[in-house]
Amino acid sequence: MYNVFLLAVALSGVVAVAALRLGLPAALASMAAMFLFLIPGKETLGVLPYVGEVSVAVDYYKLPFLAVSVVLGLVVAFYSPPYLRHLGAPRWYYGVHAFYVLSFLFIILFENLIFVFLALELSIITSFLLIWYFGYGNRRFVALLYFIWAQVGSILFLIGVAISGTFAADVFKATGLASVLVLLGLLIKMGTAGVHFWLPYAHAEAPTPLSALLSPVHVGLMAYWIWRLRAEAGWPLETLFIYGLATAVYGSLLVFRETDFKRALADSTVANMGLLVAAASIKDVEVSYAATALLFVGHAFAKAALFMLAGLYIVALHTRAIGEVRWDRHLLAAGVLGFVALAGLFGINLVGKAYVATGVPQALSAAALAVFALVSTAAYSFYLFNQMYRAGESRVEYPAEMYAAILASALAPYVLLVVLPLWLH
Amino acid sequence: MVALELLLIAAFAAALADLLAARGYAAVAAAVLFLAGLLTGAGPSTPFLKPSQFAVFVAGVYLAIVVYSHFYMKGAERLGWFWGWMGVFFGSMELFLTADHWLLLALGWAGLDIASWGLILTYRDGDEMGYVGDGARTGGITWLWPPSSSAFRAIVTVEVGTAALLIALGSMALRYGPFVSGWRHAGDLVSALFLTAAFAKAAQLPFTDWLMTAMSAPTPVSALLHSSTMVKAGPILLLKLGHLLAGWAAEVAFLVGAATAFAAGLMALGQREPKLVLAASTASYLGMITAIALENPHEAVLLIYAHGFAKAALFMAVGHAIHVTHSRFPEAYPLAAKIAIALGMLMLVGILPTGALAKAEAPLWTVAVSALTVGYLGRMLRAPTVGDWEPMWVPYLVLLVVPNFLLYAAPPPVLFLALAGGVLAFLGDVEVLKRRFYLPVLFDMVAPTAFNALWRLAAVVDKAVDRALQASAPLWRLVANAVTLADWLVDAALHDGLVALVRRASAGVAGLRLDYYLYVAGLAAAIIIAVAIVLGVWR
Repeated sequence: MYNVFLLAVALSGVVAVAALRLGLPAALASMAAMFLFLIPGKETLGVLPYVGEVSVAVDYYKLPFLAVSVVLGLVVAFYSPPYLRHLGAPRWYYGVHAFYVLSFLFIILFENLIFVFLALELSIITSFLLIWYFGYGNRRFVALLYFIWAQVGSILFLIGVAISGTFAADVFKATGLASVLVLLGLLIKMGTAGVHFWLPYAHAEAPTPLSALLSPVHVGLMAYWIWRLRAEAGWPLETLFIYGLATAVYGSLLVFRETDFKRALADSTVANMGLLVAAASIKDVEVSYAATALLFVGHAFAKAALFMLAGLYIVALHTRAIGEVRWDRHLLAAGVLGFVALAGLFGINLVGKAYVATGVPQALSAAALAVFALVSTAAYSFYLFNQMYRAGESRVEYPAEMYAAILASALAPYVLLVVLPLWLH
Repeated sequence: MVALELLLIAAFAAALADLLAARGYAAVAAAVLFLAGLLTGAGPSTPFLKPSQFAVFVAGVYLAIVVYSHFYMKGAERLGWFWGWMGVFFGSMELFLTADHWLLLALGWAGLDIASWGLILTYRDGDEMGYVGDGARTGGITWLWPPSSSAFRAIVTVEVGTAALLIALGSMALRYGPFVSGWRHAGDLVSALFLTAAFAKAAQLPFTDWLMTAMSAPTPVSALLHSSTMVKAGPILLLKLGHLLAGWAAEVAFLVGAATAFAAGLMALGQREPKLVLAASTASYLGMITAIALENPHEAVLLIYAHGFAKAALFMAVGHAIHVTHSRFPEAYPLAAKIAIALGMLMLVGILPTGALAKAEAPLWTVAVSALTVGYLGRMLRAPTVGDWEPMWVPYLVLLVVPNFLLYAAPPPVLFLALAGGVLAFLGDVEVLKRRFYLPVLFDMVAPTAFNALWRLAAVVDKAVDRALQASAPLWRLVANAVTLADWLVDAALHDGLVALVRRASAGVAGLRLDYYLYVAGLAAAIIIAVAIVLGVWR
């Protein structure tokens, strides 16, 4: 494991550096090397003063988060060239993309929470760079906004961890201020209701291939840490569950204000982060894990597919307005698959929602809120689909590789449903 | 013997094959295979499934409808879409029926939602055949729904039931384990959630209207949706779980079911679109079944069969007329269709042998619902007859005739009273019935207005906070400026003020002479000595 980890870091890191000059092929190679990180095991890398033992681990619980990061990193990279040509982006974009994906793996792999913070920093810096240079609209403002909020989140997490005095995830124990800061830091990074104001800007104005990783993967990874640390973190889980449902409702309501495809998807991420927070707060720890993992994976693929679809329209039709798009039967198929999964009406997303439903407290008000949350998250998906559907059918010219990536991603929640018995046992 | 699991996989595989090939042959093959498998004793080979008494019934009705669809959909567009979703519809219903694991039950249930949504979207929005309503503007809404509106209404309404079901199932699974057969008593809240799920699915009040606008789908879809799948999942859920529900659930089911039975029966009398007549009739009969499902499950099962055969055939017969006249408002019916409507009516009211068996134990109030049935179906029988003998009549007449040899009883005389409802066939237009008691206003104006107000409120609040946060940027600038000023002041004080002071003092000191120092030192010593002497004397 130790050797494998170092080998994987060396290979993917060096090739990612090369990708800064060489572009896509090297970035793909770098991310292919990242599959090495998926080999299970646990190893101590060293012991540092104050920070303590620094170790990495891959287990059954981490695998879905790691695998989705690498797979979506590859799929999105494969999708990107026509989009980046459209943007006029240079080759180094791909190198930063590879480092961004690497940061996802580090966020999950490290067992030492100080190192998790460092991984968070890598993810912020890489994504900040891509928004700063290749974003839309007032991109520098948005990039700074994103950077500051993300920094506040990760620094609060760091301070909370530091105050707790327990840096290893296995023994993490927090009370009082430390407990609050760690949670607040993670929630800010997820963009849940009340601390979400940065998210619609960042996720909508980022270059679309980045949006297809930011929204589906990056923010969702925090749910793993909420689930992982909750045992001794002293968080009021039932309140957190209700807050998650409330976020789902609030985020869903926000979707209806949008006419911009990407902003609508960004608001929808707020709703889905709410569901993920609820999932990670279910009392039964194994059910909670199943809900978190299924919703994370299902949302990641569906949301990535839909962001990539929005990007396809930017390239093919030069529009971001969902009411102005056109579709042929292939694009309609991708839209149906993506929106139905996002709605949680089928695919592993449905199973994830079902697991979330197990956590609903036995009180009428909680059940009513849960029904509203589940219905509103479905309703906005079908509302968006209707906007797209009514925009009309016509012939659309688009690059085949973009569509292939979208379809692969949109199909994943359904394919995974078939193999679910092999996954969850 | 084939495993039930394999049959289910074959059903979904057939849906995929039909989606890609757009032919519908796989649907026929899947139906035949399923039926043959079940009739030869196919059973579950894992604990995830349990045999269901309805599985054969659903497969049989599905077979008749897919054969009929080959005639009805000839020359239609989007056949891959249509056949693919039909297959999902069938597979999901069989999965729902046979599931014993709560997650499979949920998947089957949600599969029905999504398949019905997809099927409602079969016709394009501009296609006249996909519209529902007469286009009138009354009650503040326009009474015309294109398929995309119908599909959206349907999915959002039934999702209320699905959300309730997920929470109820999840709660039970957490308490008693994943297998439905191992569950015991459900609490009040869970019982209420199960009832909500059943009511939304079975289009019971107030969730009735999604079923009306679901008529945007091609007629074979309606035949399937109303007879053996989708809406039937509501009462079948009650039959599956009825023994677990709280004691009051039966009374609530009775009240809601009976109210829907009469209300929807009256609505059917007012409709002029034959598919809408049948849709309202379905809600009415589902109301009857829901009302008695918890009190007399045996009776409810028989009603599900009889209504399923009759309603599938009635839809196919009406579809035959639509197919021949190319109109949603056919002015004439083929003779075979009329025969089927007459037979279907007799089966529904309980005069044909299968209907008689179903109504054998039915409470007396159901005769009044039957009278309404004779009224609204009688109106169709009054329409002129056209000659058309395309063999699409075979499957629907088979469905009306064959069951009478399998399930039969002699009709109790009281049921003949229902025929008196024939006078209602001569009733003129009653606006309130035609407008379905204005229930669509709830779904097209009241609920959307309330929801729009809610999201607009959220948007306004969100924007206000967002703006306030962005407006706080100058505050940060102010803080930065204050810090800069303070820094400059301290800087100036330390590096200019203090240095200059020391320099001046030092220069002053450096300018003084040595005798001056000696004078000051002597003076200081004298003062110290004087003070010491004074202190010594004092003591």
